[in-house]
Amino acid sequence: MLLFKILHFLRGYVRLKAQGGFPERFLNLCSNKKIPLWNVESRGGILLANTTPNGYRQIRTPAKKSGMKVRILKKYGLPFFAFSNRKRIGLLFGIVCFFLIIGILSGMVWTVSVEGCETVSEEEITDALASLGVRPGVIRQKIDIEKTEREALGKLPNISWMSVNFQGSAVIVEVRETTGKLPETQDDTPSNLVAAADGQIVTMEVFSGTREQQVSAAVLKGDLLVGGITENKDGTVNFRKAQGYITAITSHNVTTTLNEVSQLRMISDIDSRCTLVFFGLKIPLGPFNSNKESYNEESYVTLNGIKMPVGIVLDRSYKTAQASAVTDANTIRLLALEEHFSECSQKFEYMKIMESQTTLRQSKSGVTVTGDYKCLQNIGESKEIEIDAQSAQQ
Amino acid sequence: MARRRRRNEACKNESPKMIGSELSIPISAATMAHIEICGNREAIVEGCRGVLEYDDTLIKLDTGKLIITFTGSELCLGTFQLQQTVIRGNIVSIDFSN
Repeated sequence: MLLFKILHFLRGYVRLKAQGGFPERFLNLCSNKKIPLWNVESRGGILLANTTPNGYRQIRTPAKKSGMKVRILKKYGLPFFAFSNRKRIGLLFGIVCFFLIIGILSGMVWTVSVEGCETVSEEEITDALASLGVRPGVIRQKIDIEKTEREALGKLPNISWMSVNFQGSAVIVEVRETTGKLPETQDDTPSNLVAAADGQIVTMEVFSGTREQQVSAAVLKGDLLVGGITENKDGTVNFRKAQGYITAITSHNVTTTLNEVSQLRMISDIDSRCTLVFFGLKIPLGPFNSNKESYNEESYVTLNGIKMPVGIVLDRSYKTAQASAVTDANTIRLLALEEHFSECSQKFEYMKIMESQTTLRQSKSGVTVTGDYKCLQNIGESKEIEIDAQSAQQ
Repeated sequence: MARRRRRNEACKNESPKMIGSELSIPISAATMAHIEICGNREAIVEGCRGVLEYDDTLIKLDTGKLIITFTGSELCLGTFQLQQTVIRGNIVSIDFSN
């Protein structure tokens, strides 16, 4: 029925009203003359029906024969609409542009999505595809699927299989990652495991080699923890790589001094520039930003959770200037503590802080923060055994 | 001559039946109107020869051998052509008469 409605709209139709006379005779005569009538309704002796413009021209004879008076109620459809708006060039131009844009945009790639990646990032794959010409805004027919798949696999060593599929204007890339990596080459050089720092052993797990220390024992830096030399029953010795996991409580002292507060810099100005992205085309909406250290904030139009190739990219660059002299004592202390803890977080990245004591001293020269920390750390450090060739032969 | 004419008429009457039985098609399909009804909302009549009576409560169609009367409310002719007539509305009853 929808098809009929579309056809009627394209060809145009009129709603007519016929009254008086004999409606049945009128209908039969119209039918004999092959005048199409549809949606025929009878309301209190008045006949309402739809017919084509051509049919309406022929309807005069049946109406006369059946004694009915026919009048047009309304004209519908594209021909009547076009005729009534024939002087509106802008409207015509708009309609033409609409179909032209729809035609052009439907032939372009709108989105590129990746399915099946787990360890390899989606951006890595889309970047590789973009360098090969598969990105939003590219004409779909220009993409050579086989060539793209082949070259993309060459660029992405962690991808074993790739399939580029089109779903309308969206490109869906299915990938499979490589499984079973090649075993890493093991270093079997004979070595001991020695303490990397002074401390008290908390846990000790020996995987290979001879245990030389016990749990709760205090060790100094360089002390042997696990030996790489094992003695056999017949008196001979074997050299191997000592392996183990030894944790100990170690003491650390971190001192931070903030001498000159005037060295601090603060953000003085933010330069921001918007760029309109339309199918890969970047249209700047402001002056060019020469600062390389800028932050991008992308916001794209999404439709049903699908990212459309239309959006705005906001480039922000921060200008810094020397901060005005800080005189407030609390602020200076806070800044000193912030610097101290920042240093600690870097130093104790692979340790667990068990105990800590921080002291803050303020003098004329500046603020000093001292921290005493007791940390749990892996103190095992591999140290190669130097074997003399002669002794090895013995 | 009269005998031959009678034989020809008999053949004419028999031929659709024979064809129908050979092709497993109902005999009436070739000679009578074909009616298709969708619930009580729509009826499609194929082989209509004309409208005898038309109102929003009653539509009487001539199909040659039969006169079909649709009664109901808000009845209208969705399409009106000799090949196919579509009747829409609340159909209450359909009556067949010779």
